[in-house]
Amino acid sequence: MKMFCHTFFRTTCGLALQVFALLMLSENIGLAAPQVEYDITPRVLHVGEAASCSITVRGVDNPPTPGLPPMDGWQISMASKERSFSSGAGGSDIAITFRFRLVPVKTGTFTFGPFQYALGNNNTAELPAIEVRVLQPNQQGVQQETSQADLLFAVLSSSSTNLYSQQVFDITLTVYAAQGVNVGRDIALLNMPSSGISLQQFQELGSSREVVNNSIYEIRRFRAKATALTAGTFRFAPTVRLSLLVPRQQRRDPFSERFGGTFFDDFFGRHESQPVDVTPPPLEISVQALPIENQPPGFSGAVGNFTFHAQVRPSEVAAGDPITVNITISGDGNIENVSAPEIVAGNEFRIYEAKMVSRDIDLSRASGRKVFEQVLIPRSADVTNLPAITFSFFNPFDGAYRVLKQGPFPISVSPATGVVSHVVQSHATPAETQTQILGSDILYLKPAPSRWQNGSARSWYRSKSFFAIQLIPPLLLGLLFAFVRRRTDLEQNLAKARRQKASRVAREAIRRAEKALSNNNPRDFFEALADALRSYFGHRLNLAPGEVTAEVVLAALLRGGLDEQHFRELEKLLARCDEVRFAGDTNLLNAADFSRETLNTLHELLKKCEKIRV
Amino acid sequence: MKSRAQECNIHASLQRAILAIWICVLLFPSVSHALTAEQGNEWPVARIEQLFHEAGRAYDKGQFDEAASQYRQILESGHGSKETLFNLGNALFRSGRVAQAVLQYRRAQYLNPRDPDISANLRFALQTTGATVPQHSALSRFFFHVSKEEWVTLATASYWIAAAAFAMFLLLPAPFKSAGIRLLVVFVALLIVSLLGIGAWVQLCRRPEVVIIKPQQQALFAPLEQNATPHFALTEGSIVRAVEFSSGWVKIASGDREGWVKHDVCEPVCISGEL
Repeated sequence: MKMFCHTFFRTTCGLALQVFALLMLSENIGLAAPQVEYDITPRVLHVGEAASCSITVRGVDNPPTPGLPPMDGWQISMASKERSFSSGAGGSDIAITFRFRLVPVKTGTFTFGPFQYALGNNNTAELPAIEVRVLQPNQQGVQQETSQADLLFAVLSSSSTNLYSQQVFDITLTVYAAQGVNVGRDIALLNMPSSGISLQQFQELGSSREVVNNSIYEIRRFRAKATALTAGTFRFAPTVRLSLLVPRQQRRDPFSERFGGTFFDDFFGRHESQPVDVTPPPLEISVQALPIENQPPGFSGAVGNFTFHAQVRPSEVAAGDPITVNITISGDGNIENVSAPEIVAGNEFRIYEAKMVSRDIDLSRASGRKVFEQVLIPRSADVTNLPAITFSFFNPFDGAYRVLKQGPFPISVSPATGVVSHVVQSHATPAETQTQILGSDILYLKPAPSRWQNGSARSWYRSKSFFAIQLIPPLLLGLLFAFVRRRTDLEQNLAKARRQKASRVAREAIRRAEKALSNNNPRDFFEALADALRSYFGHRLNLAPGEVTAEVVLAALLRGGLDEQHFRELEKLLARCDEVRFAGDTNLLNAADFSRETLNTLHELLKKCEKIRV
Repeated sequence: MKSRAQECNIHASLQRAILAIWICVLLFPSVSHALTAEQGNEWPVARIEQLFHEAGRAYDKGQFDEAASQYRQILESGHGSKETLFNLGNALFRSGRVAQAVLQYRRAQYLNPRDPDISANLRFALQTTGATVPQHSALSRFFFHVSKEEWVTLATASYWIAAAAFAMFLLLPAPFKSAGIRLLVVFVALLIVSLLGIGAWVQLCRRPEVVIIKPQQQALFAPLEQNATPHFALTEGSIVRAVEFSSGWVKIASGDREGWVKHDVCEPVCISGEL
């Protein structure tokens, strides 16, 4: 590939921008000083590709349209003129952008500029030189022979590889993608060290183009702030997981072919995302402990570059009244871990813990500001000043400790007013700061408790018996629930309720019969027998009292499968009971049936009937 | 008709039996409390009371170390009470051991968080050293306003009353069921709040508060014997939260900062078995 170095410009000053000063300057007095931004993107391209040159003018209401001089090897044409407005706290801002389309027709390195742009009213803007490289167009087949590592690779770098403990540094990940390789937005970094290094989220810095090995690469840069927590050597050998956008395999779809499938394919699912792992060359950093030599006495671990400001108010107080010291620390570094400097004021002051009242930290930039507030109380009127406050930090770039000092602060302390006050709490915000007045001494002893308990008595709720007793409610509720459900069931199903009641009623009647037998009372005996049969079968078959007849009962039992012998016995017993009850014959009453055997037979029959499903 | 009446009698007797059992069990905490109090006493109560009064007399005479020793004997005998802890705190404060006094006041406060005397002396002791109490969220303050024992009692009572309300709901006829439901909802809600309160105290024991008992301490960035970078200073008597324990080191949290201190520098407020 032959490349020319066409680094000239027709005349350095003579080739100044030919400005068409057709425009009037703004009458608006409020406009800011004119500002001009000049850029060409991309700065590396192939022959035939188009680049864009933009000249943005701010602070001039109607600037003259600039013109780019002709350049050998380039086709230059005016593309557009855009006007944009923005408003903020500082007032409104008008920006006018002139765009030119630049198309190279031959290879080489070209320099656009420097130019002078006359804005009118004797205002002239100096536009710097911008170098643009033009390469030969891509040749078919060359990319196919290249490996994935040539098409897509990543580089991990650190702002410094020799660090101090607690130093904040930048880790930059640069992803190179050859032209034609589409990398999605999602990028993940795997296998980073899990301890010793605290790493913030990666943030994308932007994209650009670069020439590597005579090939143009689209470059995306990501940066994260990291903090070395402990001394040692750390090796970063991460895997970068990228999503690659590749054309989706097309399937022949008659529907889409017929109804303009190409149009929809362009928008929906023409590309699919495929994860690709790229392994950048390992990066090794060494972290050394902060030096012990020359470490200032009040050093509390701040590493970076900080500024420090302290303010004391009020400067005139009575002894025993609080003085508030406001301490502001700002800068770059491990500001997240910075604590308030210790105030060494001796016994002349009662000193309270410092409180952080404001915190404004940008973790992605590892910079910010912390404001602390600390309360001190002068003990006597002899105090004339608050000693100097020092804040020390370690500057890793100089490799040395720095001590910043504020004060001493002169204060005027008048004798105490007689009221003993004690500050016990200073709340987070100055607005909430309040002073609580307490007694000047602790309260006296408490009397003996009314009841002495030992440790096990106090933790009664830890005993096993306590937990066991807590099982009673669910058990009782379970039983109760079952009982209520059964009761409801019986209330709703009368036949079932009567069926369950049948044997109990029969047993009661049989007991009466036994009693009559022992009293030698045949009438009552047969009455009880008849009652047992009538009640039992009435409940069992869910019959009304008048419906319980021998025919109905026997028919039901026959259907239920009562055997012949028991059927006959029952039939005979029913008939006998009816005879005795309704005949009223004394002879019948004294019959042989008036016996224990009859009762046993009845018992047997009822047991048999109980087993029959009717 | 007769059988119906008998059925009603059975139901009534069943209800009475259940009610009787509930009443008995509701009284269980106090009964159990009393029983265990009697059973566990190795020292007679008279001996404990005598020691308590002797300690008080020693305190009045200015023999604070002697008083502290006697209060400690009472505690070691297993008869811890907020009064003993409070008085021990006073004796320690008078003998100049302010951080130890803060520890005992805080322990007493755990047993009775709403006692104004304990709060006043704790604040005074903290004020003396310049230390502060960790700030809890409003919800945590609510939970810690009631002691764990009180939360457990409330939870137990709510549990049983909620069970009784559910039984009422099952047993009572329809017009009274809504009352049972209302009672149930109220006590279930109370039970949930109580359980959250217990949970807050349990959490406080898992990540206990510790009191810095040695002067001029600094929390370090890492638990290293040598070359460790100091992070922030700790005032003696400061009450901070322990986050992690690791072989002789404790990771503590003070406000929004975390750092490591040696195990012997601090003492946990929560004692196993006390809460």
